[in-house]
Amino acid sequence: MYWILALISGCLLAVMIFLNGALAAAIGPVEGSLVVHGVGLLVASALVFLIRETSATPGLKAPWWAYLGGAFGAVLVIISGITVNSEIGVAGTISMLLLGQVLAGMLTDQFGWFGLPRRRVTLLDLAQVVLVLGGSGLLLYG
Amino acid sequence: MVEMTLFALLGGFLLALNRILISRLGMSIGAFRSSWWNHVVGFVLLVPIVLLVLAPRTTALSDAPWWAYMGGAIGALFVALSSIVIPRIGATTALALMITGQMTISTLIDFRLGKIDSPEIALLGLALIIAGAFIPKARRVIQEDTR
Repeated sequence: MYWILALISGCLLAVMIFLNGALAAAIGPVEGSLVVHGVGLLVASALVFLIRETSATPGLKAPWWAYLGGAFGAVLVIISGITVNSEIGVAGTISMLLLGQVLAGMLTDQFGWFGLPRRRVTLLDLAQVVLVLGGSGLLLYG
Repeated sequence: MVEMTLFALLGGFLLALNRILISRLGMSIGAFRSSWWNHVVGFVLLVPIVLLVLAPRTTALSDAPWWAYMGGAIGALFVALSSIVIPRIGATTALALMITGQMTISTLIDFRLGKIDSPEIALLGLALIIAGAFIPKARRVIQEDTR
């Protein structure tokens, strides 16, 4: 049951990138990112108000830099607003976002950045990069 | 085309940083409050940029169709869905399924928009990416077997 929910939320993400792209095309990528975060803020406020938080760990203090994650998100929405409307389209943008995440994940694992446990990059990790890279290449240039 | 590809790749790095920091914050203060902080910081950062840098180029909000404004709402909803799904089926499986969903829908959107010349090659590319998405899942299965 829950795996269908996971699939649906993935579909929603693609629709979101497409909608944000349409907004960026109409009012500009930076303005679009502002509106996306404004609307998201309203909905997130409602969610905080309506849903009781269960995932917090009592007594675990967050490092100050953890609060700055939204800054990267703001720039990301500007970037995807531009690339979705370029010739690489929604699929090209998402496949590159995916590849960038896989590479960044490998780096943080290898060096144990942000207090995450260190894990050596294996052949299977590299196989993943090759598959995502190859698949993106076919989507972009096929 | 190459510039846009690299630009989107940079976006992926930023997305990873965003997810790592926001989920670390979520561990301390909870997923929904963490999503709230994500949007507040982004919003507060962008307001002066739009007002000061882009002020001369004022665009009317009505330039965009109403549905284009729903992206931010989906973003907040996505956080809620992930925090329901991930504890129940595990992050690796959840992520692989999410990637499958997002790549399938985005390829469909591009196909409808006429941005895909050869559906066969696009389908093959889609299959490779989805196979790649399930590799961490395969690694977990192998690790559990050898333990």
